[in-house]
Formats: sequence, structure tokens, C-alpha cells
Amino acid sequence: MDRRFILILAIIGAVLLSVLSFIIPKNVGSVYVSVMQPLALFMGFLLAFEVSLNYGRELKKSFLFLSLFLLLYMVSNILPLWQYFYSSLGNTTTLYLIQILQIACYAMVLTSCAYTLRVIEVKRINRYGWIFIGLLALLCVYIVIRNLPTMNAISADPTTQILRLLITIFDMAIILMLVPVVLLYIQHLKSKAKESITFMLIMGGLIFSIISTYIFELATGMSLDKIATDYFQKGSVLDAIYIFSYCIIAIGLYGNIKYSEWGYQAIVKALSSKEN
Amino acid sequence: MDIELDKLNDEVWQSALARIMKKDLPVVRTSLGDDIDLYVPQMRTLMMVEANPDIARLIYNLSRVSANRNVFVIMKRLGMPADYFWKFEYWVNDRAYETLRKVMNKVFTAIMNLNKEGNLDVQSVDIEHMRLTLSFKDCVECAGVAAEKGLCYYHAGTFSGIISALLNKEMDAFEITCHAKGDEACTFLIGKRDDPEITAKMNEYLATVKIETRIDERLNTCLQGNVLRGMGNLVNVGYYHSMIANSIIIGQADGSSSSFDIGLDYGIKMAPIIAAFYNDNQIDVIKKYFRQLHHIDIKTIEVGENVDIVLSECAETATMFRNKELLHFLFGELQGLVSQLINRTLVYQDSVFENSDLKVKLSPQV
Repeated sequence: MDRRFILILAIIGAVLLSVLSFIIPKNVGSVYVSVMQPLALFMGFLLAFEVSLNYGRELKKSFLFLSLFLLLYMVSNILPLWQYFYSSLGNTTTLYLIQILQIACYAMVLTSCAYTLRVIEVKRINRYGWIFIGLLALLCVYIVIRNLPTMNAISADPTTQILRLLITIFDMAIILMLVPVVLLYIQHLKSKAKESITFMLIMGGLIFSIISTYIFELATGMSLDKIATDYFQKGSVLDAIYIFSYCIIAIGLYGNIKYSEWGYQAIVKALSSKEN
Repeated sequence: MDIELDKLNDEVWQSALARIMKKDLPVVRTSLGDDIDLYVPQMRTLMMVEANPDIARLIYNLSRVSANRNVFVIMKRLGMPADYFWKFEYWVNDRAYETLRKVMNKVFTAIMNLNKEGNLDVQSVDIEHMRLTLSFKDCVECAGVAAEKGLCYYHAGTFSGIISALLNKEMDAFEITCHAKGDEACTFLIGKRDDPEITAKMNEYLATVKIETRIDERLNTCLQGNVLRGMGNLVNVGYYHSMIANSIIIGQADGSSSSFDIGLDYGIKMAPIIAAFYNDNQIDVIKKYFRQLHHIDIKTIEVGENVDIVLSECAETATMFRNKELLHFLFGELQGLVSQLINRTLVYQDSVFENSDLKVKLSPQV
């Protein structure tokens, strides 16, 4: 099978898996999502780890930290596990655990992004790309300002509020760090030697998973807290978007592993076909 | 002219690709076949290098550019993704070696084998320093030649062009061993163009050095039919076309000898050797000579005040592409050979294509 066909088929599969989460009845949908999200992230962890074995230096580290991020993020997505912690360890300890896990997640993904930035040739981004990044940066600043906690909220629960603010800042930083990968891919679509489609899918999936929450927030006017309570693993559209983006990350990683084999098969096929 | 030579090069590459894609291509030369004695392209290059030491760089650069351009086309036609070797410098060594070797063997080794240019193989890949070594056994460029330094400039350029296109990096290649120096096989080291060590060694390799080879001895070996390599002494005519297109010298503005002058010198020097080998000093000896080399089928030679020669299946023009610029060396060679054999000083006057034949007129020097 042609590699493009496989990737298109996989993306269609990802769309179907994600759409399923909100077209099935809500009670089944929430169970489906609570299984699918950690499962897709776990697949991503395994695949990212395998991809890291194919590379050296910064690219190896980038995928290694990405795999660790996906693993930790998967753990944070297993809601029954946290419900168990709440009941056995109590609210305070569990909240600390959640905060530690969040910090660890961001440490991993930010380190991965930093290594990614060292690998990609940012200097090759053209003027339009920089204009886009500039506009995106303005949007990111707007999102951060929008989510600034009030003084009352800070004085009531400083740790949670500061952590939330940091998370928003980190999310925006990740988006700004990874967008060049997608821009470079688009910019070089028609050039002789293109940028990697699989790498673009991985980073695109990651950006999509982060930005979708904020887009949802801007579109609905709801607070992030309300979104987390009412829409996370409830069989919502947002859940579908998360499943889709995690699947895209996994597809990109799988494609990256199989790319050499698919490319070689294309050569063999072309050489043995007289019609070509 | 450059564009036309580019077209010729592209035609050679595309026809080689078509052949490894097992397309049934018609035989271009029905009588002589599509192979030529490797002595013909070899002698031509050696004579050019001897006369113009700077030509090494010209051959290298032109063959590199032509290979680079055509590899992109080949990759596209074979459905190979343009991001196949994305971030190759970050690959782990074993994966880099195995993947590159697989692709090289499937496509470029196959092309080189079909053309009978030699046996290409990826010997090693050093990702850390971004260096690759390719071995090339039975190299057509130097088989049967003895020289003090490596002289396979065409293949050095071709391999650097191939690797540069595949990896999307500016790479250069030079020989670290050469069969002509007595090594078992030719080996090419390929490294990044911006690597100072590679640049220094490249410059040393392509430096203006006068290479002197015993072309008379080489001709004798050729005529005696001694087998020089495992692949035999023939090579596809396409390789010869590339060699010509990548080493043509038309003008003398820079003080270098033109292809015609070099061919003339060659013809004058080799005429006695050819006559002695066939034990025949009649003009018809050149028919035997060109036929033995699978070079040209000379139909008729009419000797009067002028000498009119009808050439058929001429290796230089055995394609859809016909350009007299490619024949300058041959015209010089014919002028030298005929003048020597009939003991009269003739000069090349004119030539004209008639159907598949080429008529060449030599006239007395005024």
C-alpha cells in the first residue's frame, strides 16, 4: 500500500474514533473516552520511545522527552486512578500529586520542544511565516492575559492560581516553539527536499491538543475550570478533539518508524512495474 | 550549448532509469549494439586530462550537477518520498548505513551495473563526522590504466551528486583509493562541502596535476582484447555520452586545448600503433579499428583529392540527440588517423547527417 494512502486511512480512522466519543450515548461515551484517551497516549509513549531509538543527539532527546511526557500525561488522564487516590490519600495529598505530575509533564514537553527547536532550521522560515508567528504570539499573549487570576483568587489559593497561570504560559510557549515545524513543512511542500510529514503530524497533533482547549474557551466564553469539570472525559466535542490529536501524534510516530520501509517498498514497486 | 548538454545528460539518466524499470527500450545501434569498448571513453578522458589538467574539476563539477539534478527526478519517478532521508545527520549509524545502502543498491548500483560502469556499494557511514565511503569495483574509468593518483573524476562527481540529492546536503567526494594506483577497487570518501578537511582534500584531488598515462600501451592492451575487469571490457554507450557531455571543451579562450586538437593529436600518435597491430597500413584499417571498439561502423571511405567517410552507428550520436559539438574529438581523431595513414595532410572540412549516417569530408590543407 502507498504510504500516503496508509496515512490518509489512519487519519480517517482517527476521525472516526474521535467522532464516536460524542455520537454514542453520553454514559457510554464517557467510559469510551476515559479508555481511549489514556490508550492513545500510551500508544504514543511506546511509539515515541521506539522513534527515539532511530535517532541520535538532539532528535533522540526530543523524542525521548516526548515519550516521557506522553507517559506522564497518560497517567494524568486515568481518572479512576485519581478517584482512587482521592478516596485513599485524601484531597490535599492527591492535589499535590496532581501538581507534581503537571509540573513533570510540562518539564518533559518543554525539554522536548527545546531539543526540537535545536534540530529544525528556524532561520529558513520565510517572511510570511514570521508574520504568522508574530500574530500567533499576540494571540498567545491575549490568552495569557485572559486567564490572569484576580488578586482575590490568588490570595484565596495562591499555589493553584499561580500553577494555573504557569500552565497557560507553558502551553503558549509550547505552541510557539512547535509552530515553526508546521510552518517549515508548509513552506517546503513544493521544494525538492521536503520537510518530514511524520514529524509535522506529531508536532501538529501536539499543538492541536493544546490549542483546542483555549480555542474552545474563546469560542464558548466558558472558564477553563468549567471546561475541565463539564467537558473532560464526558463524551464531549472537546474529548473528541483530544482523542483525534493524540491519535494524530501516534499516527505521526508510527509513520516515522515505518517511513523507510514504505519508501523502499515504493521504489521496489516502481522498479517492478512496467506501467510506470 | 550548456542546456543541450544538460538535455543529453538527462536523457542518459532517464534511459538508465527506464532500463532498471525493465522497460523494453529499442536497441539504438542494431549492428554494433549499445555497448562500447571502455577504452573509448577512457582514452578520451585521459587525453583531455593530459592536455588540460584543469579539466578534472570541470568533469567533476559537471557530472556532480547532472547527477544531482537527475536524482531528484529519479526519486520522484520512483515514488520515493522527498523527506525519505530527513535529518539524516541525526540518524543512528546502523540505520543510516542500512537504509542508504538498500536504496543505493536498488537504484544506483543497479544503474551502474546495467551500464557496466562498475560495482557500487556503500562501504561505511560515519554519521558523527557526516562522512560516507563508497566502493566501486571494476571501475570503467580506470580499468587497465596505471597512474600515480586517482583519476575517476566523473564518478567522484556523480557519487557526490547522488548523495547530495538523496540527503539534501551539499556534499563533495574524492578518491581515497583508485584501481589505477594499484588498489583493489576505487573508494570514494564523501563528506560535507563545508567540512574544511573535505574541502582541502577535494582541492588536492582536483588540483592541476599533469597525469601522464601510457595511452599507446593502453591501446595495445585494448586491441589485444585482454579482459580488464570482471564485467568485461564493454560499457553502455550512455556512459560515453555522459562522459563527453561532461568534458567537452570547445573554445581555446583560456589557453586550453580544444576537444578537436586533442583528438587530432591522438589520431596522429595512434595511427602507427593501429597499423602495426592489424599489420595493415591501408586506409581501411580504421574500419577494423572502430568496429573492434564497437565505436563506429564505417560504411565507406572514398579517397580522392578529398576523403569522404560515411559513418554509421556512431557512438557519439547514437541517441535522439544529435549535436556536432559532441563530435569534435572524433573529427580531430579522424583527421589525424587518415592523414597519417595516407601520408597526406588533410583537414576536417565538413560533416552532415544523412538519415542515420554521418558524412565527414576531409580536404587537403590549403
